[in-house]
Amino acid sequence: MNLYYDIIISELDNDKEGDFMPQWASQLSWSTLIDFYLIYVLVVFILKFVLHNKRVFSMFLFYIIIWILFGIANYFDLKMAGVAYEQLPMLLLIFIIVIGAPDFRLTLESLWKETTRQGTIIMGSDRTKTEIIKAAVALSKESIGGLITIEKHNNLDQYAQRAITLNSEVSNEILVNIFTPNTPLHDGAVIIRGDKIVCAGAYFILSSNENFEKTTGSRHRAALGISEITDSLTVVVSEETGSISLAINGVMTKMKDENTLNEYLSLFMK
Amino acid sequence: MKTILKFLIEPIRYIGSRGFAEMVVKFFDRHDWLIYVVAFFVALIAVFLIYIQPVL
Repeated sequence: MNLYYDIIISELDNDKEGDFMPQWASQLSWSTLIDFYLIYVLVVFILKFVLHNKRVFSMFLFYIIIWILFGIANYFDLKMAGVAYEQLPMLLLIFIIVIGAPDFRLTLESLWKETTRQGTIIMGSDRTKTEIIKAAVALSKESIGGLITIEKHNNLDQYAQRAITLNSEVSNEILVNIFTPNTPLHDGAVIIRGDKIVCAGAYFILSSNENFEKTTGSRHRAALGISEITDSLTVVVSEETGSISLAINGVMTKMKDENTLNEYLSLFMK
Repeated sequence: MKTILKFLIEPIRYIGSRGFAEMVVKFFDRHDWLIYVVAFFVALIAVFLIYIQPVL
């Protein structure tokens, strides 16, 4: 009973002093909130990066395990393991950066795919679609290589900025003229947004897909590469065989004839 | 001897061979909002360790 009164009296004493808040609360201020927010943003970025790709996460996990083992060695003051694991995290970090570079690049590109996704899209009219088909067929008949990329949700400005800006209406004649050999623009890709040819001579990152035939040319690899990292569709005309293929979502599909190409484009440009 | 030596490395082999990384990545791919929840708690733990724990 006495103990109960003691507690009540000590509580009242505390109230008199106006010390309502626990001691730790005095450590928190507006700067703590900003600190918390900045750490939160950083952790979100790290988690998004790490959890986007299985191989990147495996490397991250391996690195964390090494840190845990180092922590254990440190905690128990282990002489041998302590020395061995002390140097390992730094060396391992360099090693991971070197061997994981392709995966890091792929992850960053995939993250970019999500961040550049636009809410509204401008798709071309039926006339644009017909002009693209006519151009592809004409290039195919003449066995002239062609690379026509049609933008969807993901903005392709990053590639257009480094190419030759055209901003012209889509027409069969212009497209054929662009890809005619020995002309300044024939070597890159044409980017189409809505009913406009945004640019010509654009260069994409080549796909490193190992399942693809070794003999596949750089034009097809470029088409596949851009389809892996964006939701665009690319029409490729082979210089060697004159065949027309479509690259979308990292998959290359050879077109049997003009009608098949029309069906695919109609579905994509809906 | 061989069995004992193999057994010692078993915990690490177990993690490596179970496709743990793939499981986690797939899980967060399906429930990507959980990344924000995890990040929130990680940041909260950081604040606790830096600001609150030293005065407790």
